[in-house]
Order: sequence, then structure tokens, then C-alpha cells
Amino acid sequence: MIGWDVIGAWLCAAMVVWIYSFVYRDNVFYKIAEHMFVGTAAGYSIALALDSLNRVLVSPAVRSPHTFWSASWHYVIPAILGVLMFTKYSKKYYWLARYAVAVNIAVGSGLALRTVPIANIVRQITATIVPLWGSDPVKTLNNWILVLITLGGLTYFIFTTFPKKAEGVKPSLTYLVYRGLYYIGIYGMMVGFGALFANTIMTRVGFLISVYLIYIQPQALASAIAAVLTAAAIILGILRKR
Amino acid sequence: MSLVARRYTPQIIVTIIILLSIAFYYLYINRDVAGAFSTADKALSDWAVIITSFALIVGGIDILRFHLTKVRKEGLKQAPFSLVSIGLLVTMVIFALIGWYISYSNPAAGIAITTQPQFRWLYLNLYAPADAAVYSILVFYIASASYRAFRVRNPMALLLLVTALIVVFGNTTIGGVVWPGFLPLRDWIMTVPNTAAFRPITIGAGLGTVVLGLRLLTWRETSWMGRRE
Repeated sequence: MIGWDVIGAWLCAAMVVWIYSFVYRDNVFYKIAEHMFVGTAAGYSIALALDSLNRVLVSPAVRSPHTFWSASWHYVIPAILGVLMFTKYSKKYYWLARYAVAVNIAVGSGLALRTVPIANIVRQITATIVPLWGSDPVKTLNNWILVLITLGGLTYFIFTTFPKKAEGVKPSLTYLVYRGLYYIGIYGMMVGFGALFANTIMTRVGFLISVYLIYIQPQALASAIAAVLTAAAIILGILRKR
Repeated sequence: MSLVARRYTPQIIVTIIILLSIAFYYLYINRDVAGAFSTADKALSDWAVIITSFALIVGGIDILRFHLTKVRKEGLKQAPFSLVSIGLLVTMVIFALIGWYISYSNPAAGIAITTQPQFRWLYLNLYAPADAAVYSILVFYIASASYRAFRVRNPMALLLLVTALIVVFGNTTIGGVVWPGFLPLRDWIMTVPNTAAFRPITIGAGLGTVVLGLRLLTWRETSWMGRRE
């Protein structure tokens, strides 16, 4: 007797192989897997939304109505605003959906304006203020590199003011300093991007290996059958186009 | 409806919430005001959660409408695929609703929306492997992108390539076998030049966020309102 666990395992392996088949060529099994993924992903996100609504709004209102209506009655307002989002399908009342978006935009922006100036600006600047002369030469060199690349990157991102080099005249000191920092910034960022790209490659390869170990390798037979089906679909597709 | 209700009132809501949110955070008046602000702040976050949940549901319905339109317009060529999407979306939602119903009708069963058995089966055997496969498939595109990015055409590309190789070898066991210095060199790159390189970007992103907030406050940013009247 084939149980749901076995069917599930075969489905897992088939989904992975069918999605990977796109690397070679688009085919009918890839399309099926893609649409299955889209359907389940949309259904899953709706279920998560229902779960959030239940946790924040419905469950407190149903399980302890007295406390809810005395302390958290105002949660009805965002619920009404949320329902208003469905007016976006109306040609006449679409603008009502803006009220809900306005609250969300404002809450997000308000939170960002409180945390970002400290975390992204002030702390980054204070972390760059480091001693440039000291007894430890390695630390001093590292500090110089840190400061110069940071200043260089900032110089690179100032697009509005760039000192012009006059024709036939020896370049000014401002121009030379600016130009020097500009190049230090570019080269520093190349090092950063190289490291970032390498880390991305490593993460993706690690992910690929884990997908192989979790879904493909334990269900080798299912994966092989899914691969054969996909190969047949690709060959049929090529023959039909001819 | 007048322009006041359509455009100005939502903008006024944005301005008021942002101003109150910033003012009470940065200006300390007294303990009572700070306490009231903290409570209101938590409530506003919950408001955002509730509205986002509705937005997610609207998004799901949008996907449903999109596929229904495709079935109607493109006919038999697209219908089987779109029907698969629609069927699975509706099935997932029905199982979630069953779980929700059970969580109230029989709380002792310990079943909730996301732990409903059939919903979980679909999640574990369909969504999770497909999700993992879709994200890991990017490695093949990264491979072709790295071929293009790592071609040495100028000194900057050379620096990019050398850094990437050092980081890759520093992250793998084979790197340590080839040359033990890869690991400390990778650590140095990640701590010093990499930190310094991303600092201006972080500062720039921070300034961008502040500017966006100011644009919202001054009503210059209106793209979030969608279509214009």
C-alpha cells in the first residue's frame, strides 16, 4: 500500500528535478512545477496572513472579548482599513485603499526615521573615527585602509560636486586629493564586491548541495524517473518545433 | 469625491503618524508621556501587521484573478497550467480555513492554521522543495554571471577576481590544503577592506531612507498612492 508519505517523497524529488530542468530548456514539466509552486506559494502567503490576523485580532477578540473591547478596541480601525484595500478592484472607490497604505507607509517610515539615522549614519561614522597613529603598525595600517576606503567611497558617491580639471593648467591640490580618494573608493569597493560575490557563490552552491542531499539523493528512483520524463518532454518539444 | 478625500487626507495621515512617531521618540517629556508613547507605538505596529495581512490576502486574490484572466484569454494552451495554480491556491486556503475552524471548535486537538495536516503535507512536499529548488537554481545563473564578471579586462576586474578567489578558497577546505594563508587573508579582507567598502554604501542607504521620509513628510513622494486622478 502506497502511503501519502511515499507520494510526498516522490513529489518532492519530481518538483526539484522539474524545476532544475529549466537550466537546459523550458519544457512542460517545468511549467507544471512552476505553476504548482506559484499556487502553493500564494496559498501559503494567504494562510500566513490569516494566521497573523488570527493571532493579533480574531483570537483576542473571541477568547477574551471583555479585555479586547476595553483595551484593544482600536484594532477594529486597521481591520476596517484592511477591508478597504479590496476597493482597489473598484473603478470608482479605488482611492479608499490609500488610507490603509498610508498607515503602513507612515508606520514603516516612522520606524525607519528612528532607527536608520543612528544605525546607518551615526554609528558608521563613529566606527570610522579610529586612531591613525599608534604603537601597533599592523593596526595602524588597517585603520588607514579603513578610513581611506570609507572616505574614498563617500567621495565616489558625491555625484553633484566634482572638481573640474582646467585644460592646459596644472591640476589643483583639491582636484588631486579628490581624484585620489575617488580611485581608492572604487578599488576598495571592488574588493568589497569581490568578497560579496564570492560569498554569494558559496551560499548558492551550499544551497544546491543541501537540496541535492535532502530531496534528490534520498529519492534517487523518483528523481531519475522525473528526469527521464523531463528529458522526453524536452526532446518532444525540440522535435515538434522542427 | 473631492481631491481632499482622495489625495490630501491620506497624505495628512502619513504626515501626522510620522511626526508623532519621530517627535515622541526623540523628545523626552516625562515618564508618563514616554509610557503612553510606547503603548501607542506597539499598537501602531499591530495596526501595520493587520493591514499587511489584508494586503497579503489582496495579493493572493490578485494572483487568482491573473490566472483566471489567462484561462479566459489564452484558452487551452495556458488553461491546464493556470488551473493547476488556481487549484492549489484554493486548496491551500481551504485547508488553512479548516485548520482555523478546528483551532476554535476543538482547541484540545492542537491544530492551527499552519499545522493543519493536509496543509502541512502540501507545504512540506510541494512548497518547501519547490522553494528550495527555485532559489538554488540561481547558482547556474551565478556561474554564468561570474564568468562575465571575472574576465580580467582592467585592474579593477583583476582586483575583483583576486578577492573573490581568496574568499572562495578561504571558505573551503581545499583552500587550506593549497595554502594555509587563505583563511587569515580572507578574514582580513572581510574585516578591513570589505567593512570599509560597504560603510559608504550603508551611509548612503541611510541618507536615502531619511530623504524618503522627508519627501513623504513634505508630500513630495506620492508614488505610493498609485494611479493619479
